[in-house]
Amino acid sequence: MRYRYRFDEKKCTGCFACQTACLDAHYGPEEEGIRFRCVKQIIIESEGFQKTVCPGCIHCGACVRVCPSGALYVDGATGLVLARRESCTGCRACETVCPVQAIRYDYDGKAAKCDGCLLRLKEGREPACVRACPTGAVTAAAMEDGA
Amino acid sequence: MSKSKIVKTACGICGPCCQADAYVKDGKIISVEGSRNVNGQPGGLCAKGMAAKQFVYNKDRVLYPMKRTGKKGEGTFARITWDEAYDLIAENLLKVRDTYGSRSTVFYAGYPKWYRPALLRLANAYGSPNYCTESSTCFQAADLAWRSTYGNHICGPDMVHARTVMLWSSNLYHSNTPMSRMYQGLKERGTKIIDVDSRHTVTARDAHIHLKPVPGTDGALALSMAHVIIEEGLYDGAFVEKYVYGFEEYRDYVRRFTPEKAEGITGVSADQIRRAARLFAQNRPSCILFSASPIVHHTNGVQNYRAVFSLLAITGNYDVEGGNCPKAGITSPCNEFGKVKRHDREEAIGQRDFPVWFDLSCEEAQCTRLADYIMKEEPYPIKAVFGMGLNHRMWPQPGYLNEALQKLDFYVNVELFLSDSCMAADLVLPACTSYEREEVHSLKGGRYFFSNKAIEPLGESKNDIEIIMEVLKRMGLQDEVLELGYDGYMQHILEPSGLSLNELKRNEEGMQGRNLHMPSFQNFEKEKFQTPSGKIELKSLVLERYRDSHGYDGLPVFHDFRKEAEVDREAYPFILNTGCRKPQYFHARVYRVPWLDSLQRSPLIEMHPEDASTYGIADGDVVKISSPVGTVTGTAAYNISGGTGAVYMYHGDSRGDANELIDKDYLDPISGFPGYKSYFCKVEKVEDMKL
Repeated sequence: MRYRYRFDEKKCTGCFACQTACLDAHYGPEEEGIRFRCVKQIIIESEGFQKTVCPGCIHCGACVRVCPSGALYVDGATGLVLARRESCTGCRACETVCPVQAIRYDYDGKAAKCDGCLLRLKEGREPACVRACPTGAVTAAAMEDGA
Repeated sequence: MSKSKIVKTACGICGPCCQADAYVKDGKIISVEGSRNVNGQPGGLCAKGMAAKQFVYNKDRVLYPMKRTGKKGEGTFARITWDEAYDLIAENLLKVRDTYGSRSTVFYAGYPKWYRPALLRLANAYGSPNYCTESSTCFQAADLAWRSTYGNHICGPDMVHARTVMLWSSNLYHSNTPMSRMYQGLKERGTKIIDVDSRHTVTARDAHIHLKPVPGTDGALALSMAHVIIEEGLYDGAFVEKYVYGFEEYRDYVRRFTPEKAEGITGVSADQIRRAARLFAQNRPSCILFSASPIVHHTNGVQNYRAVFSLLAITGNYDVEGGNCPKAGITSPCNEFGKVKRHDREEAIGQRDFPVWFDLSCEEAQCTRLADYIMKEEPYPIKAVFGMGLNHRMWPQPGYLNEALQKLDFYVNVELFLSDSCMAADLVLPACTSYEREEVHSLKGGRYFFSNKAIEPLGESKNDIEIIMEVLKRMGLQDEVLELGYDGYMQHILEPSGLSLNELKRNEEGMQGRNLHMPSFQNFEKEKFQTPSGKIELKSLVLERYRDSHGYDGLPVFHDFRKEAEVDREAYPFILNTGCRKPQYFHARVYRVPWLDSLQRSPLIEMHPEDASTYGIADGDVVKISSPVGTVTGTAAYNISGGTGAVYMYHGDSRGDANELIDKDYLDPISGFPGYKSYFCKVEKVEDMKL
């Protein structure tokens, strides 16, 4: 099964539920964790309005195409864009092309990113951010094979 | 390694207790999720709830009973046994009772709220009228405003049937995240939404009309809407004639608030006031989605809220389908919460200062001035505090209360965390979280839910109510319900519903009570209003009792804090608005949770860029914010959603607490609530400093 990950900036209210859901899914309580989702300000001056939104990886594959070491790759079964830590050379080419600034670097300078909650998907559960989002701004639609 | 199991339990981090699935492996929580497909809850947890692991397994958890070893306030403790702790409590509280009388001990319920009726029972059994809660600065003033008008407890909106919903100061996307889908659904159904909020929030942006008053001017805005409704003949004359007391005087009073005049006071345009008033009165039924505290955290808070609530009465939107109703949904009766009466045969603290609080009883004493009562021994000596989740940062000028707590003969705090408020304690006892105990929850729709224990209590922490039961026993006091044991207590809660504890335990999705009260409307046709006049009181006769002694006015009058506060506005040019909800915080409680605390810098002083640049302050600068009573250092953040003239700051952070800026005497004279959302401040850049 392949999945289409999307983020709807209009629907996001900046409630941060996806942020902690992501950390809960990937880390133990004693760990600081790496925040895979962004915190971004939207400012509409003419309306006197501003809000915080939390975009995340949409698994578009732009980073895979520029990665010279094969550290970033597409998982055949799910279509998820994953990072293979041991192959990363830390060149940061991926950072420059990511449309949502969703690539992180760990303490060793190696690329780290959203894994689409691969383990949860295998258990038949939704990704943590999708499950937590109260407004439907974060979605992961399962696609029929071949779609 | 064993497999993980799902335990049906509840999140109690903020209080409403959303149902949660805890994934538990080898006796530890490995993940949490909002329960889905459970009747009465749409599912999902908020940012705070999702951080449960770091909350439960926090390094600050109190794990053992701790006894003070150093000087009071020093914060040095040594582990003791529960037996020793109970003996110490019994010995000291009985000594205070025998020396000064029962009233000299205050029983205080802070966070969380679930054990409140049991603690009230303990206070009653001990014989103290001084059972107090953190509601001395939260929600109860809103309920008081409602009761002084309608006679009953605050009535929620029947949003399912409403054609117009007016939100008044509720950024529910951030304060009540699980309501998000319901709110979005309103618009999809064609319901019109009016949102009143001093900031252009995400919730306001999804409304049809957003009214943006200067903080603290809600009353003038509501009175002006009433003016339009009456002037244009849009009010419900038949309803008013039959069921409303004081309408003529109210009508004469609101005449002063023409939209043009209100525009000058509130900053909301006359045109918008008219549009909102007409929509609310004409696109019926209409209801008001109220909030717990923003409107009453002003020095004219109760009256401002009375002005808002009056709009329902004059438009005939009380107790009709789609209005605000006492019995709009199915309910099933239960015991305990809201059912236990406070021992009131003796004067309680706060009673002389805030008599209406007691006349319209909420079954607790008013303790906003607790520090003064301890320090000045007014109206009589207070010598002991039995606190549960006592958090001194809920009070204005919390440092002063902390000093007062150190003056007590005996102070116990039952807590989850070794908080700043424990430092002054003689004894700190470890409570457990909702994940570590069992609880019976009463839900909407007459439903009940049994929250399981997901993990064993950490260390020697205990269920709050079991602690209360043992304290009662050790002091040799009697209470027929507390003597039932904890299972018996849960069964007692359920008794009137017709359900048994055992069957509820077996049904993990929850059950509807067997004894049900079905929805009913227009109850006023059969029952009188529980006010002195028997009608809805636009002019409150309870408030009128204290016209001479306390200067109260029966009409929902508007007093402008900007004119009446004795503060030098040249020195303190900005309105200081503290405590506006942020989705990742809950008062002082979760700053210690790194996944939440790292989302934003704190303390953050949010200013409009125009105001900031006037004072040479750039986004991200270190600034000093000062009021007439305090100074706090934090980081300036530009924010255009609040408009110019007001500065916004969240409270409760020990690195810089906004409440230290609020004068302890800057209170609403009716409720005793602090003017947290409309005090005064100045902001100055601190050169060459990084936080």
